[in-house]
Parts: sequence; C-alpha cells; structure tokens
Amino acid sequence: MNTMKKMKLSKKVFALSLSIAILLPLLTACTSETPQADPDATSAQGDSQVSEPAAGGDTAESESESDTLPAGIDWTTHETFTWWTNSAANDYYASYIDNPVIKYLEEKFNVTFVFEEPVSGSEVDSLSLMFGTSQYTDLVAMNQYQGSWDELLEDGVIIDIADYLDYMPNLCARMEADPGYKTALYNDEGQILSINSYPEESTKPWCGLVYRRDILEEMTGGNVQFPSGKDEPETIADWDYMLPLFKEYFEKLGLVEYAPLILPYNGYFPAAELTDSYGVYPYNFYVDETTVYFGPAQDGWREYLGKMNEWYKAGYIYQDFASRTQDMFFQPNTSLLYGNAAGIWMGMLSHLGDVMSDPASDVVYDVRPLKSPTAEGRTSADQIRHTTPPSQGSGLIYILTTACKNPEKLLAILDYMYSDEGGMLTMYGLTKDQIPADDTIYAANGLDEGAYWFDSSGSFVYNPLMDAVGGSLQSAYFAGEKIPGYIRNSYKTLAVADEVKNAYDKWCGGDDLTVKMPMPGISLTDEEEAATKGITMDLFLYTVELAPQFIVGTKSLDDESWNNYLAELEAIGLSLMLETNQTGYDRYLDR
Amino acid sequence: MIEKLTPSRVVFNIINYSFMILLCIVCIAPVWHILMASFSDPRTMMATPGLFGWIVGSPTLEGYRIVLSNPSVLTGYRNTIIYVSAATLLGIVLITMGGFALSRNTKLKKPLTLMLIFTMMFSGGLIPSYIVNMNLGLLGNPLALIIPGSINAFYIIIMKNAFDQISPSFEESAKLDGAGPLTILIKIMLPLVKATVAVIVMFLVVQHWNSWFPASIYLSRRRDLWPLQLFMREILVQNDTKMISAAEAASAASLVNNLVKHCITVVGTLPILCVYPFAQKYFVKGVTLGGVKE
Repeated sequence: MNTMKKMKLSKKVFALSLSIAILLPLLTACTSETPQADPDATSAQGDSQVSEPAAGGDTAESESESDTLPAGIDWTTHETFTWWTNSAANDYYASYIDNPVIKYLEEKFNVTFVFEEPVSGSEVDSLSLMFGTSQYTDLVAMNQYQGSWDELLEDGVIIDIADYLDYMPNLCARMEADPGYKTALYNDEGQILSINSYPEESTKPWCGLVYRRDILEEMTGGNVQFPSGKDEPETIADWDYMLPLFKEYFEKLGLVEYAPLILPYNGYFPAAELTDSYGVYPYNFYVDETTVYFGPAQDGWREYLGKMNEWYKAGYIYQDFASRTQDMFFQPNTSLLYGNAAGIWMGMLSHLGDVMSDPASDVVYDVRPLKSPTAEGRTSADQIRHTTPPSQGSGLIYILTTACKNPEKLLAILDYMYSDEGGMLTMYGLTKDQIPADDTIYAANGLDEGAYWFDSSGSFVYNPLMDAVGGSLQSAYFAGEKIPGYIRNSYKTLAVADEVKNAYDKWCGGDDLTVKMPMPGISLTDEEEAATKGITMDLFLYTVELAPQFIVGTKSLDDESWNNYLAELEAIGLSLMLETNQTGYDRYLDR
Repeated sequence: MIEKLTPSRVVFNIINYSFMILLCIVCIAPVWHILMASFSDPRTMMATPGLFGWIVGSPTLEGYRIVLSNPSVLTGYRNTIIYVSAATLLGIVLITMGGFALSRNTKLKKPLTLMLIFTMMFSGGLIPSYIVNMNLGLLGNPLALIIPGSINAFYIIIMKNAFDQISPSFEESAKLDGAGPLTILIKIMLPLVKATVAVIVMFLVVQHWNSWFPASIYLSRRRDLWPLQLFMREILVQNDTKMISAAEAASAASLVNNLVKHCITVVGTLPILCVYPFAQKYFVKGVTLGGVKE
C-alpha cells in the first residue's frame, strides 16, 4: 500500500516537475528590462557593419551646413540611430550601411546609422525574435511583421508620430496636399503609428499581360486586323480573334503541350487583368466610391468565369492551369514561354521585344504589352485600378519604437526625405556634389558624375549607366529606396525607353478613369475582429477553390449552381464581412 | 545455408528489386537533373520541359565560373569546414562521454537519463534559447554555431545503448588489470563501438553541413562568419528577388540567374555527398548496434 502511495506521489512530483520545466524556459522570455537596443553593445559584439561616426566627430558641424538643417534640433551632438530593414545585400554592397545615400545623410546630419538586416528569407523570424526579446531598433520596417499591432501598441513599443509632427513640416505638407495620404497615415484613433513613402505618381508596374505579336503576323501573312479596328488588341472580341490564331500556330508546329493563354492556377490574375473587363476585382473586397463590394459575388464575376469557360473548352487556355500551384508569374513551366508554345501570359518588362528569341532557331519573338480588354457592352471606365494610388503610399512601412532616445531628431531627418530634395535621394541617388568624400560605391561603378544631373536647359538627365535608361547598373541600389520619404518618380517615367513607356501605358489601363480600387487598410475594432475572425480567409479559399471548377466546367454556371455558390458565400459570412468592412471604411473616410 | 528459390520468393524478389530500383531513381533523378542543368545552356534549359537526362544545349561552365568567382562562396566554404570540424569533434567527444557515463550502473543513471529524454521531447523554443545565447555573449560569435548544437540527446541514447551491448566482462577484466574509467572508455570500449561512432560522426557532419538557421539568427550581421549554406540561401532567394525586380531589365541576366541557382546547389551539395560512400559500411551495423537493447 505504502509502495503504491509512494509511486502515486512520485508520479505527481514528476508531473509537477515536468510542468515547471516546460514553463520555465517560456518565462525566461519575460524581462523587466526597458525595451531598447543598445548600439554600443551591438558594436561590442563585433559588428563589422557599423559605420564610423560621420566626419567631424561628436561636435563638429560646419556653420554653413547647420544653416540648412531643420531648426529646433541640436545638430552639433553626434547621435546613433538603429534601423531594422530587409536585407540590402546586392551586387554593389553587402549592407545598407554602405548605401551612398545613407552615408550622405550621416554626413549631413552628423549621425550614425546602425542597420539590423536579416538574412534574405529570414525576415519574419528576425522580427519575431526582436519583438520577443524586446531588443528593438529605433526604426523597424514592418511589412513582414505577422504579429498583432495592437499588442505592440499596448506594450508601449510604438511611438505615436502624430505627437512629433512639429518636427516634420515636409510630411505635413504632403498630407495637406493630398488628404487621401493623410487619411491613410492616421488610424481611427487619430494616431500615426507608421510612415511609408509618398510617390509623386503611382508606382509603375514591372509586369503585366504580354502577347506574341510575331505569331499573329505569321498566321495572317502580316495582315493582322483586329475587330476593334485598332493596331493592338483592346477588346474581348480582339482576343477572340487572336486566341484561335495562336492555337492554330501551335497545332501547325505539332506541339503536344501549348498555351494560347496561360491563366493563373486560381483562375484569375491578381491585379484584376481580364476580370476588370467585366468590372470586378478578383476575390478581394474593393471599393466603388464609398461602397464596399466583394468581387466574386458580383454578376461581372459570373460573366468572367463564363467567358473563361468558353475559352477553356475551345482549347485557348492552358489545359493544366488549375493543377499548378504558385509558380512565379503563373508560368506553368518556362518551357512554354521559351519553347515557342505560349501566346499570352503574365510577362515582365524584361520579356518585351525580341530578347526571348532563340538564337539557335529561326523564331524571332516579338513580345508586346497587352492592355486588359474591354468586354462588349462595357466601357473602359468599368476597369478597376491596377496600381496603388499615391495616396496609399508605397515602399517599406516603418514604425518608430520607444527604444529611440531622440525621436525628434530622427523624425526631423526622415522629414528631410519628404522634401523635394529628399525625394531625389530616395528615387535617383546622389548628384556629383552630394557624393560623400569617403564613398567608394559611386566611384567604383563609374558614377563620378553622379546618378543624375540637370542639363543647361534644366532637363533631368539620368546617368546612362543606369538600367532604367538602358545601362547595366541597377539604379535602385544607388538611391535610398529603403528610406521612407517622397518618391519623385515622374522624372524616371519620362526618362525610360519608349518600349517601357508603352508597357506602362498598357498595363496601367484606365487608372486615371477608374473609381473602383482595392479596399485600403482599414482598422477594425476588437469586437469586429472577434466577430469576423477567419471569414475573409474562408471566403478567399472558397472562391479560389470554385473559380477553376467553373472555368474547367466541372461546376456549371447555370442559375441553380450559381445560386448555390452565392448561398455558400453567404453561409461563410459574406454579409457580415461586407457590413463590417463597410463600417470600417466609413470610419476610414471620416478620419 | 542456401535459400531455395520458390516461385513466391522469385515474385517477391522481382517486386522487391523493382521497388528498390524505383526508389533509387526517385532519389537520384532530382540530383541528376540539377547536375545536368548546371552544365546546360541557360536559354535551352528554360525551353526544355521535364527532367534532364543529359546536358541540354551547348555545355557551359559559365554558372560555375560565376559561383566560384564569388568571394562569399569561398568564405562560406572556409567557415563551414571550420564549423563542421569543430562541432563534430566537440560533439562526438561529449556524446561518447555522455553515453558511456549513462551506460554505467551509477546512482544518478535514471534521473540523468530522464532529464536527457525530457530535452528530446520539449525545448525552450527559439526566443528563450536566443536570450540564453545572447546573455552568454554568443551573438555575433562563431561559437554560437559550435557549442549550443554540439550535443544531441538522441545520439547520446544511441551511444549509451551501444555501450550497453558490450559484455560487462570486458570492463571487469580491464579493471582487474588496473585500468581506470578513461582507459576503459578509450582503449576498451571505443574500439568496440567504432561503427556507432562512425555513424554518429556522419550524422553530425551532415547536420552541421546543412545547418543555416542558427547562423541566420546569431550571425546575421557577421557576413564574414557565415557558413556556406547561408550564402547559398541568400543567393537563391536574391535570384528570385532579382527575377521579379523592376530593375532586372535584361532577360539574359534572368537566364544566367537561373543557371547560377543550379550551380550553387551542386557546389553546396557535392562535398557532403562524397562523404557518404566512406561511411556507408558502418551504417547498418552502427545503427543496429545502438538501436537494439539486448
């Protein structure tokens, strides 16, 4: 009996010990220390990427430079600020500390920047570790943060930038000039928890629909005549003219596997190409002026699926599109594109022209950008936006953490980047006069004259070595693209090759005409979050599952089947989600 | 005794061999594909569907030239060799000593074994481990890749079981001859568990050769200390990024990037593949010796 009791006691003790042992390591993560990064400690760990303090040491700052610096800040004291940002390693330098624009800013503002850059692909882990261990940097790029912002706010990690707007006159001016940007920066509580860049004009796309013009020329003997009467295909009827020609061409070559049109695995292009022909945005919630809609529940979605089903049955869509997963650019395999077996696909700028031609064969590709077509009975005004409007901002989203000992100074520096001059730094880099004395990157790459200059007539001239104008240097790495600020991209749009301009024109479609666009980042209350948890994801998964079935034809698009589909969306919680998003969007507009 | 081949045995052998051959093909085909692709013409490679049986297009060493002229790859090789050697050496010493101690009939044998097994089932998690290593001053320190991961509880258990298989008479006779515990371990026991030691060394080498995660956490800002696998990961991820970058204007560059991916994979994998044949003879014997209780 005693033995039994002893055994039971031992088991209890053992179970208790196990529980304590499990809990102990978890508790080690809780620390009472004030959350802040210690740049000195970082240096002590042998960090090779910490740059030397700017020339002049702690107190040196020339009188003339001080005159140009924002007032109200002590610029004579040297300061160190820490940043967490995505990996910056590239062909020219391994760390962002060596970015020439950063060096310029360090010299100009008498500061040192210390960068935390995770290894490519490890960003999420790195962010989790940083927040989990309370070792925050002053600035943190949050684009890949997967945790709760509310928790960070409750834990006092994030500084409300709205309290420091006195130090940010340039940012305020941008917000005044574009109230939409102001709305996007503030949250419903009147706080500014993060900042991102403000582009002068919508960031241009680097990919879009492309087609093989050379095939059409060959199949028509050089007499391509689109039903719309245009030189380039612009309507669904034009596509109905093109697709059979592609199919005929591939069959003449005796190809077993070919694709007049490569559709993504889920049945639609994410930036709304082709679905916009029918006036709907795919899967996502979108806004039409002040009303929120769910694309895959609209009649236009049914029309789109019907057309795709018609093309699929006719053999115009790659037969195995739905069996693919998430290949880059939805290419089932590269052999279709490079093996002369694809007619229309989601292409890149680098696909345009004849660069994809095979020198070993006689086939000379002529790849051209393709405008999203307009369906019969609809106008281009029905098209929805493909690019993010400037008011939504772009680039990395940064928070300022409570680890920052001098937020006024750091925000004043960032504010400079929202000026016109700062906008040139983020977009183009340095002029000859701005290149820091200790910089080696520009000189080593032949940019002694700077990344750009203005000629005698005052026109912008991009250094011909830059890739944007046909050179070999990747221009983004010589500018400060990771720094939040104003992005003066209009000069670049004018400077690029005509071929690229043509692609922008086609791929941006009716961006200037449209009122429909993806719903901006709204904030839901805790109650709304709790009530609608998982609904958006479930709606997405259901529509992604059903769209290919409608296209392939395993599910009919007749009234009964369509109504069942709508009923299932309703059962998942579509109405509740629409109502909640509408409420959130109303609050957003009221900011 | 020669086994008589009955009809059912013949059928079994045919199915068995067919299955094993198929299994081998499944394992070898991707490796072979990568190897052939790494020597292939990049444009032709993009236009050729399916697995490659041989080099497609004009053979080229361009990818290897790019990879091997990258100073990061050579630095990575150097670091990896240092980490693998140091961690394996330290690991096998500690594992052997741990296994030997646990196989002796001592008072603390059971609680120690329990504590060891406990670590196999539960771990503190990434953040507590990070905090511990940070407080030990291992951030940005190459020892972070050598010390924390050098011991593996499972290998200690295998080693303990291997020692358990050895008849106590060996130890008793050695003791009668005046041998101490260290002499018994080194001169008597170790030669008898040579196969198990070889297998564990093999496991450790492969584990440390393929390891990239600890380096990405503890040495993220010390590129000069990165192991090869971390450079490989960066090159592969960045090649993907470049392919979707607006700055990527030349299609030819995309093609070369694709070639580089295959070459870097070969460069990172080939050395460890070469180790296998030398350790293979110990595999079955070693694992069985450690895995059987009696």
